[in-house]
Amino acid sequence: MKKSLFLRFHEGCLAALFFLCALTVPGQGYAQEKTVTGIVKDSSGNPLPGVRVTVKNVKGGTITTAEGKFSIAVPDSKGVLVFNMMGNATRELPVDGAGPFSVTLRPEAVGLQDVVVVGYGVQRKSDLTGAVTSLKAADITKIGGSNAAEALQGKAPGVQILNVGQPGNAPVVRIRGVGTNGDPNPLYVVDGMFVNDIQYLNSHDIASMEILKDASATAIYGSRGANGVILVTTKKGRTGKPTFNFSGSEGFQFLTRRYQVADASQYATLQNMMNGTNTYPDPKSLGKGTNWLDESTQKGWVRDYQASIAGGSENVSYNISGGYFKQEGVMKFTDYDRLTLRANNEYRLSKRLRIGHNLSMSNSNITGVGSSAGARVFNALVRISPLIKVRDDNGNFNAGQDPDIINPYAALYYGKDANNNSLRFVGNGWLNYEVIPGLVFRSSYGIDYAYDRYHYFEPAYNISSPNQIHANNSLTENHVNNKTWLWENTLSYDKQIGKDHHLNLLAGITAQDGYYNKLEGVGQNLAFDYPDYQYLGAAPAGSVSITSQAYSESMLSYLFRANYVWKNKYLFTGTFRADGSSKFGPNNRYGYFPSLALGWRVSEEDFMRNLTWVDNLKLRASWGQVGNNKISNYIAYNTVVQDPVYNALFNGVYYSNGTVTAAANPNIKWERTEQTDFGIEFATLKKRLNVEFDYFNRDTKDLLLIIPIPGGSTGITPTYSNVGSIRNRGFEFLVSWNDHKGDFTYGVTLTGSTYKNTVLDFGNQIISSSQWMSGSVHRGEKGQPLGYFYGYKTIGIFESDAQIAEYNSKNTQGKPYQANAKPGDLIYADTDGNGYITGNDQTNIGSPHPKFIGGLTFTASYKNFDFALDVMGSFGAKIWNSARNQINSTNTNLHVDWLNAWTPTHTNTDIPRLAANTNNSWGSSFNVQDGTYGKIRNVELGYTLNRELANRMKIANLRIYINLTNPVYFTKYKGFSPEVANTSPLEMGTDFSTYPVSGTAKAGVNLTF
Amino acid sequence: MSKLKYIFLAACLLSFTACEKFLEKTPQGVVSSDQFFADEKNLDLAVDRIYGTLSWREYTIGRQFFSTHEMGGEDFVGSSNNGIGTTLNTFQSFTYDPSQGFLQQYWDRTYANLNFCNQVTDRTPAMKNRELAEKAEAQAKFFRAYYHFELVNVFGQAPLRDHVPTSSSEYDIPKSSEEALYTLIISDLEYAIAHLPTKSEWGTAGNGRITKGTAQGLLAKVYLFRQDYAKAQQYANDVITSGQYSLFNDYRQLFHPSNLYSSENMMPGGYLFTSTIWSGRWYNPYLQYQGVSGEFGDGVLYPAQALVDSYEAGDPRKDATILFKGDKVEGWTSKDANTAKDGTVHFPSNTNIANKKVIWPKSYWNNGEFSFQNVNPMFLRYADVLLIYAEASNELGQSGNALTVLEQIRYRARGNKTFAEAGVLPEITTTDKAELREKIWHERHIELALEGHRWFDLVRYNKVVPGYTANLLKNVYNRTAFDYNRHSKFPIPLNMITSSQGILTQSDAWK
Repeated sequence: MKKSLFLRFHEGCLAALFFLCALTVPGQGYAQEKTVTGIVKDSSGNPLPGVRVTVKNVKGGTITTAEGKFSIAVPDSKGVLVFNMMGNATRELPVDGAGPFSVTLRPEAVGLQDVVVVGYGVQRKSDLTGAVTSLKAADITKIGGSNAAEALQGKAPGVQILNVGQPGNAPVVRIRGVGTNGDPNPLYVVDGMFVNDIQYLNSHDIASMEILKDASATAIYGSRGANGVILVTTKKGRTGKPTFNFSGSEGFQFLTRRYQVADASQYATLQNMMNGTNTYPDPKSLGKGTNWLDESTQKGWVRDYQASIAGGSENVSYNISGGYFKQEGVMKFTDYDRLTLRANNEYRLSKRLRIGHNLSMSNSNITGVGSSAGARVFNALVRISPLIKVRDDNGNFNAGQDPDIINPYAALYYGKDANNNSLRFVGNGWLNYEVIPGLVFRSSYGIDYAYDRYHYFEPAYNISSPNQIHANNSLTENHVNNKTWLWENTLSYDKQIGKDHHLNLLAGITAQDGYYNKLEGVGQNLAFDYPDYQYLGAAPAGSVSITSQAYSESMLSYLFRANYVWKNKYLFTGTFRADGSSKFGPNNRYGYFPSLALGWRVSEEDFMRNLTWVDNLKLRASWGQVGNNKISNYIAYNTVVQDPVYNALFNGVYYSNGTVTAAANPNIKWERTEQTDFGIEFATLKKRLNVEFDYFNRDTKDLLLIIPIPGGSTGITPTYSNVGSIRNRGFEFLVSWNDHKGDFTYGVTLTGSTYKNTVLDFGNQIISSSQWMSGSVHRGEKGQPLGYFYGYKTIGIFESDAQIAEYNSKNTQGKPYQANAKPGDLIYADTDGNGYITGNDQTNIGSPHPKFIGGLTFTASYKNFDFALDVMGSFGAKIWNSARNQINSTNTNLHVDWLNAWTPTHTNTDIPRLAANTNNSWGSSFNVQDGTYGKIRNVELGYTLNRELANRMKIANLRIYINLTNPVYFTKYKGFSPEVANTSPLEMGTDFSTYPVSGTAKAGVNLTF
Repeated sequence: MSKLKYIFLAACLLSFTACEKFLEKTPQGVVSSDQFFADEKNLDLAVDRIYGTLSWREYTIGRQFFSTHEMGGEDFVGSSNNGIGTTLNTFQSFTYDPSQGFLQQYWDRTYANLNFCNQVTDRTPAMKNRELAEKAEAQAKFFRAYYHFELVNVFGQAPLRDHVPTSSSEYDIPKSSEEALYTLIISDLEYAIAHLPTKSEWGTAGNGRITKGTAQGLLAKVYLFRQDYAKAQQYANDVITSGQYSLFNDYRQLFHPSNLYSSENMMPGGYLFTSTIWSGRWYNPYLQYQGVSGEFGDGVLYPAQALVDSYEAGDPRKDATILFKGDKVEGWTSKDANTAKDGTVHFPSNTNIANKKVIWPKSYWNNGEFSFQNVNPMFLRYADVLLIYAEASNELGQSGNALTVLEQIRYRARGNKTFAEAGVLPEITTTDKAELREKIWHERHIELALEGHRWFDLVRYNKVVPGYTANLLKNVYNRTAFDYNRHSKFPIPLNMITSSQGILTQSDAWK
């Protein structure tokens, strides 16, 4: 099926492209010219992309590629090349011979590197009209996590990162708020390949990450750019002798914050209070009891090694690397490891034709928390009685004191064999052909092939029913194949016309096709528990069930971009992309995504000449529409569901079933996000102080929403439709100061961002969502922030029967104000004003969206020492702390706060009376806590070996360092970690069973030969 | 250069049409309904889905069922040590409100099940294989009547669904009157009676299916609820004279988890344990909520003392229905240190009794787990039909007919003995209509105890004898918050009213 489609594609539309290729071949009319080539590097030897290369007194010119290379036609043999790049001193180089030349540009003043990667190309930062934040390699590897996106936390204004504690799990990344209740993850583009996550990438392989935020930058990605785009460029080889680079670090992870749970004597006290009995006459005698947190957590070892070799000759450059990453979790029996290989090579076949490839392979394993009781582990950890030991005298696991509370250690233990192995190949081969100077045809064919295997043997055990029992041993074996190819063909043209006009045009056609299939087998009652015998074949006939799933999707796109710079002062960018997607209904197959942007480099104006203290002042404005297509396939089709769970029982035998359960929508289309952005860039004090400020308004329309069917009486599961809109509006800034005093160089960068999230329209419906068992209620509703917490608002505690009677008199129907209220109970606000409490009194009791996120980075170096400190904070987000008020059984353990519970003799408290299943356990603002926090993100101290000493040891560079990541939080939040990462926007901020975020301490070495 | 651009643009435009097919992806791993039902035999799979969702976890054998069918009565009480028990008790204290979540879940499930019925009935008229079509349609219409009858009992007026909405304009519809709902219920059941096979026609392979007799029995009940006693008697009599069903010879064994298709069971809801986790038929809430807290099950709800006190002296059905303190469960070893390990059950402080209809020797507990036991809910049984016949006959002035079948029930209750042989449960002889009515209602209460009949019956009784239920609940059981006008039907769930925005309105009593 797939192949035939491919062939059809091959024959059909690509004919047009080959036609284009053919067109671009002629280019022989320049015989008297000579083409010179070379590479431009920065002072530390890294290639410099985006450097303008011109021939003195000749119009036109070129820009160095991402690899720092250039190729330019010189009219005669005695030209002078001029290398120009903002932030660097201009250099002139007389041409003598054809090269290749190697040119080094020195920074003119300390500052941010001035070229950024943009969609399908690179651009000088000074010419940029969009909102783009760029991070370089050094910033990315400092955070020792497994996922490079973690490095963005606090560093990139407008980006919210929430770390996920479990090893091998990607952080939650949100760019400029949350514009959808569907999948709000940004698009990742790695060397031109579109991927959903970058977990497979080794951070050491990354040269830069660019976060595209406004529509001018993202609209070139059309129907996939609405949540923002993160461009990742991996390191390439460069001309010169081979350099061998080795980096390695060893360290450990630790639990940054603990949940303050009662110990044995405190638990006994709480039990006596809760049940009004004297079950434990002498709580103190019980001591500390079992510390479940200590029993279940560990210092997890972390190691990270990478070796690479890079270099190149005249016609070939290469960068080959291998890496190994291993991380044990802070929870026992959880870990992650990853092996990566990469080869980024480039071959110059002729002066005009270059080909190359970026090939990467990774093999990773996530191990642990696979038990069927897994989701309850973190909840049980803070509720299980400290009077219970992990195991009984015979070595068997003890049950929790209540069926709802499992033995968390045992759950981790029985989950230890759950292994998620992911083998992934992502790579592309490309061809660059310079047709005539400035006109480049580029074709790239890439493959993303992922093979995931989940293997989980769960032995039989019976600890407590029904939540921690596994009657028969079982083996789950899932195999997932996910294969995507992407073919992109672009034509770009860069031309300087006269002194005043610079034009850069891009046009392209891209096609993408993806295929997914999954085979899942579950076997029970395997003959042996031996590790070597854990195959489905070991299960008796009839005890194996096999299912499979598949889907395929395709996309066809046309893109166009024009950049125009007039007099180096006035900048214009226009982009347009047309995306056709198989996901959408036949009636709405194509979407069109335009953007426009203007920039004005005020500082280049004549009237600014006298204001010498202004080094740079640029104003920019952009508008555009971008899409989000992240919905399931086949929404347009009416499909039959065959759910074995609902098989019919006739004469003691189950019979399969099939029916239509859900609505279909043949008109389904993408979400459209319309974004307006105003930005200012300013530099002063010899470019030592840089300020960037952006204001944005991001309106998502035609929201891909599953809204309830009005009236709810159809019995049909609703499907996606395009209704509703959400607004995210805010600003972000970046202020940096860089200077040096003699040998002391230092820099400070402050970033900050805000967004206000408002649902403008939700199809006149309200969506409620609750994370399983958590008790939290999130809502999507017009006029409110998406996913706000819905519940009763508490206004105090009933101090006496008299006060209850006073409240009861608030209505004339003789109803109690709050049914079954007793002194010590929370008083709920009567928001509908009818004089008594009903479900209708529930209201907005907090928003999980932060009001402000900020980061502060301080870097300094003195002689051989370097130091870096990152601090970040999140302010104003609320968290629904589920476990703290989860008193649905009379024997649950609790947070130590409850020792301060209201009693008739202890009334000066904000903690209500302690009792199970009272009105106090309703979802209320008592459960919602301030999630404001500040934390030290990262501290690093490094020492670089003396150059002479290094030379004597025959090494180019040696640096050793120590590093602390996430060592401490400053927060009033009473849970594990105020970083609560839930992927669904309608579960944002619910802290129910969140794997705690941990800290890391490590020491490492970087070595270059 | 400009020429090149034009050519490029032209190429783009050309390829737009050429590439259209590239974007066409037919569903994989799922099947479209058009393809699926093109084979008429597959309609039976859609019928199977109706059966597969009848006896479903929280719906008919969980909290949605207990809250809407039992808690308003006096037979069950929720445990205050348990969150769900506490919530269930709000149905007893009549302190629930329209935002109550179980009501919403019950509503959602019932309408989902109606959709499964309509998915069948919408397709049958165009089918070529008429035999297959009519059999499927008759089963679907029976269940459509069953669920509409549930709706009318739980909510009173409610939206009526006799076909799958053909467009979104039919999504949001107002309530229909009880009369309109009953009209559809009756015509659906008449169709079912005319086209359904009898129990013996289905044969053993059809065990678990509803039959002509099931439809007749349900229609008898529908007429009883409408106080149309002549028709109630007529359809109940049809069941009796058909000879397809009879009282099972042992009251206790009738509820046995292995006795899914007894001669008495007219609408089996058998729920068999399947060991795969998340097969949905793993532990089931019906058992998990019951049992004895601290021993087996969670003890979310227990039978109430009021039920125990309702039994006549020596009625063997009491011991068949209630597990008392001191009773033993064969094979059970108490978890309590101070309790003898001979099968004796240790009760928690808040109760001394448990529902014995779901408690069986440990040898029947799959994998040794109480909550893994099979369950045997009967949504209609022959004894119910006999009692419908008795009640209708009495109301029609035919006390003789009523007494005959009443004695059949009591004879079986005595262990197939006469009063003279057993010495308990004296034969009922009164011919006074009001007195006999009380006796029949008492018999219903005891015979069908804890099986989900009590609340609907209590609501009905108040119509037969005005003030009856209000008096019972307020004055006998001291549940002062009860207001018949308001609490005889549950409010339409708040979310439905909110989302409908004016088309679906709350019932007057709950405004």
